[in-house]
Amino acid sequence: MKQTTLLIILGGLVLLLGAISVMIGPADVTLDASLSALIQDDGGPLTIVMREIRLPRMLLAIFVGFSLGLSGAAMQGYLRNPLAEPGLLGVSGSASLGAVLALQTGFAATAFYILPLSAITGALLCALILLVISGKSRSILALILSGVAVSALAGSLTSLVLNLSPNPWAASEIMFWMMGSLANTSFNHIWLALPLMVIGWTALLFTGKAIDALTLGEDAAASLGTNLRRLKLQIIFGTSFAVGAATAVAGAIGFVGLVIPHILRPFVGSHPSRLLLASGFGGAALILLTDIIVRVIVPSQDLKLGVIMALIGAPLFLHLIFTTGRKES
Amino acid sequence: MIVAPPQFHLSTRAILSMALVFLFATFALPHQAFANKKPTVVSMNLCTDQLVLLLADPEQIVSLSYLSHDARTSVYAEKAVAYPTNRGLAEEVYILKPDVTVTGTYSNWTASSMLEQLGMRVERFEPAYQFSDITANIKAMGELLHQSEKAKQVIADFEARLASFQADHAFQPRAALYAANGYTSGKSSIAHHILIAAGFQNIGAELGYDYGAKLAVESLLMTSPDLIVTNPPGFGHAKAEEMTRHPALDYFQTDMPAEVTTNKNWVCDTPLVLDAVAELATVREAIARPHSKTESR
Repeated sequence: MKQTTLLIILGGLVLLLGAISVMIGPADVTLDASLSALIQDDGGPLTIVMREIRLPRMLLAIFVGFSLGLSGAAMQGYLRNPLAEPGLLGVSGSASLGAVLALQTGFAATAFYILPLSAITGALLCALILLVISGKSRSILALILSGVAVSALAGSLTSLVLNLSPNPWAASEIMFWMMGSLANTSFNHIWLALPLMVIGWTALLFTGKAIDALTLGEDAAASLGTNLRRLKLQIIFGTSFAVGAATAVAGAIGFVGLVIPHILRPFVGSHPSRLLLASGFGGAALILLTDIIVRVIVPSQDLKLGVIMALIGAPLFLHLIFTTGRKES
Repeated sequence: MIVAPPQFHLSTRAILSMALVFLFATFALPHQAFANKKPTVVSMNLCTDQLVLLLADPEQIVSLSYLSHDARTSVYAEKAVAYPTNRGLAEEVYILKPDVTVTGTYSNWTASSMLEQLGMRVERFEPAYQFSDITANIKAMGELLHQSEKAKQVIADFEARLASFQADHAFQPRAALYAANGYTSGKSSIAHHILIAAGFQNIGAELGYDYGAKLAVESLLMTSPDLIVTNPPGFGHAKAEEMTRHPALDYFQTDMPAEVTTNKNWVCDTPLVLDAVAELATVREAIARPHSKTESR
């Protein structure tokens, strides 16, 4: 399929799911009324509901999904490994830990950008640990296992910090930081995360040529003029900014970066570069869809996105382990 | 063998005298003590702490829950700091050997039932759902602590002050209570009765909630409340509290004098809930003034 056709289809899907997303909510209003209140100010509460609650939730779903899908595709391209994904490798979990530390120490309240920046710092530390490990051993297993270890460590430290909080409600948000949710998002969250996500997206979208060259192997890529050191930094910082900023406002959402490139790979052929933008749109569509599903299944409660995402992603993950293992042997 | 008998004699005498002391200690002394001493008490729950502090003599109080020292939720915290605290564990309370242990019906269940199994007297107090539950709890605590006279006086003062609020309110703005996780209280809650006594209508009751329920931000907005009463922010940070300050809610707070929050007076079944009523009545007057202006136009 041509790259542009694929992008148009995915873009259309995002628009469609976005429209459905703003029409869903606990307030009992007709589709007609809600859409017209969104476009035209009716002076009543419905316009505020549409513009200040449902619209930012829908937009944040797109931005978070784009970050996760794009990061997954870039990591897989760089590591040449279909199992690489920010959630599974502990990048999202470490970002959560950074965010929780900033919030609970009160550091986040000192300046506007401290919260996403500390999440990004958490993600960066994790990415560095993983790169040290993957540099030492080319084994897929070593990478995935160290991801599991970092995830577990970050998760337990997140729980510890939240349990030590003087606030009696803090411990109950462990689920949010591990499973992710878009409930109660506002434009404040978007202004907080979007600029930093855009920095990450830019870094990742410009890796296309280099990761295409990398499919020939590191030596061949280097001889083709690819700056491998720069590529590594671009991947580390790009992923950390995109995933860190997304996690700071939506919690750690796993499997998006795994599922989406896997679904889209057959449509782009053997060009990891073509997968980047497509996976971004695909990730946006998947988060929108999941956020719709959680609101349809239990409208009154805040079911976490990660619950649905793991139901879709975990079986696929097992399938991938099975097939990659067979290829290797 | 020759030395042994006198030793034997001595020890028999010692045992005999020790037994006498024991007899005296276990039977005579306590009886004497019970005759003129009021029962000692340990409280394991914040709200029973308040009732104990309200009614007991200082020498009756053995220990209070650790929450009693926290001035953000404990109305008598200043008095409470004079007493040791417990964290509601059975073993802590057991070694204190109070005459009676008090706690809430829905708190420390495992610990308090273990104390009962160990033969201690435990009295559980129901949370208050209306003002008459407050007076009933004060009366019960008074009887338990042999402080019925004091309790009667407190109840009389409370009822007199409550009656002063029962004026006819022509203008009843609609208020929504909005606590952590979007919890709003229904008609069986002290918070509801505080709103009503201050001349407000409770949106939680309007929505048909009995004790209360979680309300999404957008569902709250759709009720177009005149006033949103949130909880004061706690220490640290919690997403559960962040949602009660969603920016979309600011659109309804523009003509409010300031952010209206609940405080420690709302927490427990003490006579000070009437302070909460008085504070809220002032807020109502502030809303009523611009309202009466528009009425007259």
